Amino acid sequence: MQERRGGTPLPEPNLSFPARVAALFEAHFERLFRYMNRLSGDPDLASDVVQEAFVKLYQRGSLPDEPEAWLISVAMNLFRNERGKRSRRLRLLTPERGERTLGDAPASPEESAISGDSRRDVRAALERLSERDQQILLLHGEGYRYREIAVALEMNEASVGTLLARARRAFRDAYEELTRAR
Amino acid sequence: MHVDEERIQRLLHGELKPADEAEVQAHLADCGECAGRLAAMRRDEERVDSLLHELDRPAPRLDVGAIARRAEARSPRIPRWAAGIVLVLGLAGAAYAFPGSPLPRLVDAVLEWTRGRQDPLSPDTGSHPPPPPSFAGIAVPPGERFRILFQTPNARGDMLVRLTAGTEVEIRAPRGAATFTAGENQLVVDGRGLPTTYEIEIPLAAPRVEIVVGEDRVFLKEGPRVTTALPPGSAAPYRLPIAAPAR
Repeated sequence: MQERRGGTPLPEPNLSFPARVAALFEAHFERLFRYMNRLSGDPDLASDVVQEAFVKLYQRGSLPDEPEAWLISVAMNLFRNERGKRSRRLRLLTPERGERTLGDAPASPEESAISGDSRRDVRAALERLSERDQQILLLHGEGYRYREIAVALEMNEASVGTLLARARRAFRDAYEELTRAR
Repeated sequence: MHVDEERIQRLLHGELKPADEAEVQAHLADCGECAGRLAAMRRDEERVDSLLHELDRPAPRLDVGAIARRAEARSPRIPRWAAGIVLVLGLAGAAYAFPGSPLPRLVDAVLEWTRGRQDPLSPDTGSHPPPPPSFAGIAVPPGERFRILFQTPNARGDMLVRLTAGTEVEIRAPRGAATFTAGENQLVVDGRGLPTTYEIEIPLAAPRVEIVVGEDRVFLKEGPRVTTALPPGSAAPYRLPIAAPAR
């Protein structure tokens, strides 16, 4: 009945530290980027914070007990700090631009023609959820296991499934409401 | 007794222990209501996953070497020779402070001797201004689109543009003849009217970087393709003049 891609195995413990970081980078960079990009709607910001999380892991000099969850937590903290800074800076200079950057990246004309409305609705529906619901939904969407989600979000692992189902329902309802109103 | 939502979710995601899974499966075989809930959750999940994919953007191409280099560049490592100097100074300090040590008298005598040899007509070197910096430079992650703008007529001289395996756009003005202002997806270079050769490094992985002088684009890298104001066939490194546009 396993229908999802599973968690990535930890790198071999007998490898050197740089080799273990390299293995984690190979296994997790892209999905952590996708997660942060979906959460932030800003690919540049997502790339920056995920790279920075790996830099911090490298500087740490040893792997934490739960490297994937550690990377998610660090990336989230960096994201919150950076979002706050950018939001303040952009609001001072160009309010409209600031909102757009934090909401979603500007779409090209072709993209707008194909799926602009739908994409905006998806983004808007996601933003109606609480931050924790967004995180749990998006982390699971990237294939993170319940245990990794629970450690990263500091929640009880026994209720991850229920919270995930609620988050998914809330997202679906928000999306349907938005598309019905169109 | 029906299966609760947590266990149906866990079954759907392969998160149940084998014994629990067998138990839930046995229940589903006999309970149409729970089997229907599982099917509905699966459909819901597929639909939500498909919608969320609409937000995806391609991940930047990066190698872990760049991460390691950046981490190492930030780590303050004390070289062995510096550690040796600290140790010697520490020992000397301890010897100086030790009661009955001859070192204080010896140091005083040496200082007295050097004061006596100092040329009284020599100028006071302490009042000289510090030397100007040998170069000014900045490194910026380029993102999806990035523009380097040389403000004319303050920017003068030329630029040497290289493509590198790094992750950041780097600009150096070797004589310190520039100030940089970073904006969103843009870096403005003010050359303060001093002619110099700017050294610019652009990551090969950067999707789009352009260099503009005044209002004229003199360099564009889009994906692997490079277009410059130089004659066709010119190869990297590109030496491009900075000239104010003719009016």
